[in-house]
Amino acid sequence: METGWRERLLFAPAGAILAGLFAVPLVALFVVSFWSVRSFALRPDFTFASYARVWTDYAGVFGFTLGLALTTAVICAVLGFIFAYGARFHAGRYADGLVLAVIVTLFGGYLVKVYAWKSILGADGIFNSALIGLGVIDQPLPWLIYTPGAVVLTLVHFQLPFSFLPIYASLRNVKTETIEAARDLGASAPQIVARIVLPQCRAGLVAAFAFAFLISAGDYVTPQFLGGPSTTMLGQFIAIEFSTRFNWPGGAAMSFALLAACLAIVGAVWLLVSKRRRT
Amino acid sequence: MTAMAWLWRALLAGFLVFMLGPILLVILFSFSSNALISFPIGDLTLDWYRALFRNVEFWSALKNSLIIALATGLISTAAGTMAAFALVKFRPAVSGALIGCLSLPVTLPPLLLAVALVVFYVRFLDLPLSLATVIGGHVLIAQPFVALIVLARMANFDYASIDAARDLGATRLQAFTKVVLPQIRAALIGAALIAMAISLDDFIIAVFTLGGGNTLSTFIWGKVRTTLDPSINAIACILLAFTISTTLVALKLTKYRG
Amino acid sequence: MLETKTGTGLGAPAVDRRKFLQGVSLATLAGAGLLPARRTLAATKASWVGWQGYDDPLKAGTFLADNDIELVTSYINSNEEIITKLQAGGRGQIDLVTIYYGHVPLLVAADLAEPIDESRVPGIGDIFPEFLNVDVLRHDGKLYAVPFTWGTLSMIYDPAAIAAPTSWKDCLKDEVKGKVAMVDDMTGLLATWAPIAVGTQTPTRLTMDQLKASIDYLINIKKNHARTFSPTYGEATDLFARGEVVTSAIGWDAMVGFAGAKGKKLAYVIPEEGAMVFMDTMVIPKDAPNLDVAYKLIGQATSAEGQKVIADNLTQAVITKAALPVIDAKNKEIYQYDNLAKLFERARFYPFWPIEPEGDFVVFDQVLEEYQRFLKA
Repeated sequence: METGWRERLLFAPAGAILAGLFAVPLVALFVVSFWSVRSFALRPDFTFASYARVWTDYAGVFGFTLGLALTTAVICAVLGFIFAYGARFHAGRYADGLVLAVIVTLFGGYLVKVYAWKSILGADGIFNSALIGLGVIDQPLPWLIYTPGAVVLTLVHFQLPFSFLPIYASLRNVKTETIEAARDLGASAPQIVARIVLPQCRAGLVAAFAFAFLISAGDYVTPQFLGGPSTTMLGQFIAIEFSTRFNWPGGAAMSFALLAACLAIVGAVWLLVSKRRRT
Repeated sequence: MTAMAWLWRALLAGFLVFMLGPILLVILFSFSSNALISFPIGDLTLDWYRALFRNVEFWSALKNSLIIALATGLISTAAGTMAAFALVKFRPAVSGALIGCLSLPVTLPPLLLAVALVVFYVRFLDLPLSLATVIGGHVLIAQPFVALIVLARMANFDYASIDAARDLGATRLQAFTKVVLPQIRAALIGAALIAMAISLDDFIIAVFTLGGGNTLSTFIWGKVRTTLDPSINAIACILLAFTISTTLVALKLTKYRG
Repeated sequence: MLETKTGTGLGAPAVDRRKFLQGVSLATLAGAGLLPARRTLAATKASWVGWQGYDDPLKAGTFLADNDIELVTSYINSNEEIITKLQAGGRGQIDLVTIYYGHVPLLVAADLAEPIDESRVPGIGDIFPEFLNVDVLRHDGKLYAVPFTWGTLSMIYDPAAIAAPTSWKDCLKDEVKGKVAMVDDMTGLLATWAPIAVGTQTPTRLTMDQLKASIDYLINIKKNHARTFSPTYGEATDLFARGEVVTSAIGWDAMVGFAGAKGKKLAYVIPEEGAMVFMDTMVIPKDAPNLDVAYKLIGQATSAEGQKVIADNLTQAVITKAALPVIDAKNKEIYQYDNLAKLFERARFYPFWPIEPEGDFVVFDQVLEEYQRFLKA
């Protein structure tokens, strides 16, 4: 197969869109992060002030955001693996239907799902109403909602399909015959999972983790509605910098700092997972 | 059945309930006669839908959403398909890297993408925001999916049919339109529909890069300020109906097997 | 120069020369197939940006049809979005915005607002002078915003759950701990609590020390007393309706009306320390493409017909005495228009934060910066 000018031309439109609407704006945003603002007007400049500010003023929020995103991502990867494993090997003829249901839940709007969780976790929500109705408690549980936990729960629910699918896709390459053969040779279930299954869905696991981590790290809507008085994530402040404060350099610096941290963490996870190859 | 098998069944059922539960609630509440999005539901009613259909703003938002989705579908399918054809021919290392690049926009927080686009449009291009500016962002996140779907289709493609056509004297273009296209048509339509669903569902990019008017998603965002009643659920259901139906059709067409 | 023809006593409308020319050219273009045949001849597209619901008065009756206006609306979720939109390419594209009165000085400072020619606003004389004459709307002697609706940021409580509070500090009592509503409204929160925290009479004129002390006070409320930190007043109303909160650290009298629609009865009170009065106003952005239409829209919004929509649909307060005869008793009960003097005994307008340095007082930007500390806590 020759790769000549025709192939380059075919790739050109997608490549141009990528370059023009993604690469260039990101570079532009990076440049802007070194600018300054005077009287509501952007002024080309070269200063690290915006980045310094991220460190001095937002370190706490930054850490909290990464921590929450990490928690969400780990839960998604683990749950995604369990359910993908179950769907692949223990769902029998329901497997396709299950996958279909998961794909369906990918859509439906993001805001409304956040609101649906309010109706489930709130003082007059399903959980509390059910528990009160059953007589288990007589006052609604206040800690179901307006806590970081509620944010993690909602984000996990939103992300789980994105985590499930790549793992499921890589699990499809694991043949049931291989597993049966291993079982015949006397391997226990945990050994099978650790030695045969996990190594083969390495890429899927990392993808599941990465998706969940990156999307959660940048989220700013869920904490506003479900997080309570002290759960603030960096995304909210980035949005503020771009709207209330006309401080584009500030928002840009925060965005890139977040991106850098996210890539570092995902990269670390990738290295961690790849190392096992040598055992 | 063994205990393990029952455990798995229960686990998977629980998983389904967790995933689908909130969505079913969203649908349920859209028929609630309680103005608060909560229980008790009272009688089931279509009033929220009726009020929505009487609202001019809803139709305007729907129109915008559809225009953006259609344009996104067309552009991303064209670009993504062509990219897939190129990727098929490149060395695996090269095509892997290129797919990775194409997918970058999807892996970043949407907020970052939206913000980069706004700054670029406004400060550097001096471009007024409009439907077109939203389409740009949507194509960015939709085209990798198109490329991957078509790429997957081409993996099972019978290249011998192209060779046969060329041997019989067809030009490249004829080979494409008469041999390749009919065979991958279903996959293309499927990919286009997925691109449209992705566009319909997006909220963050639209909020930042839309000029005047609303899309269905930003319409919901606007209503959350004061109304906060089941009309939000009604809009969400309509959105769900669109995205789910297009996805189901797409899956059928692309003969999705995981 | 084309002569305009007027009907001779038959009631036929005068054909405006401009409209005639427009009509002819449009007909030609349509004939040449260059225009979609369905377009109404000479309908002007007017672009409006503001809160969802604030466009309802413009759509009332036959105003839009009578004036051949096609309204293109864009809804916002925060006042800052308006400023962002105007800066992000909206200038020269938007005809009218409805914005919180406090942001008017910001728009003026950023050169985004057009001075209002008062003679072109019909009915401006009927607007309650208590609102029209507020300083914040003016700059260099010129008016930049026309009042549209108003309200007080009073204390909202659930009368079924607690007795009527008399002081803002009642929300800090132990029996309501964890059941207090609090909304993300920087100016509202500081205007309400700075006087209590540091004893100032003008909460928008604080020294840095006073600002820090006020923010500390607010942080305490948020962390130890509030149920959650709501992004909007609508959200807070939802919390009341769900029984999550019974009182508030900041409120808006319109919430009583919002809650009524959800079947929940709420009440409001202006505590002894006072409350802030606010207005939402209409501003014509600089380089508005259809200035005539903008003034017409303002006229409609401040007319009796338009204001009635605000009272009925939004349960908010009307701004002009021309509307008093047509609004219902429920609205008048909430807003007590006949006794505005009594309202202003306890509720006040405050000047906006200084934008440029003013003696020892902190400027708007510094307030925003300190408020971030509050948000992070």
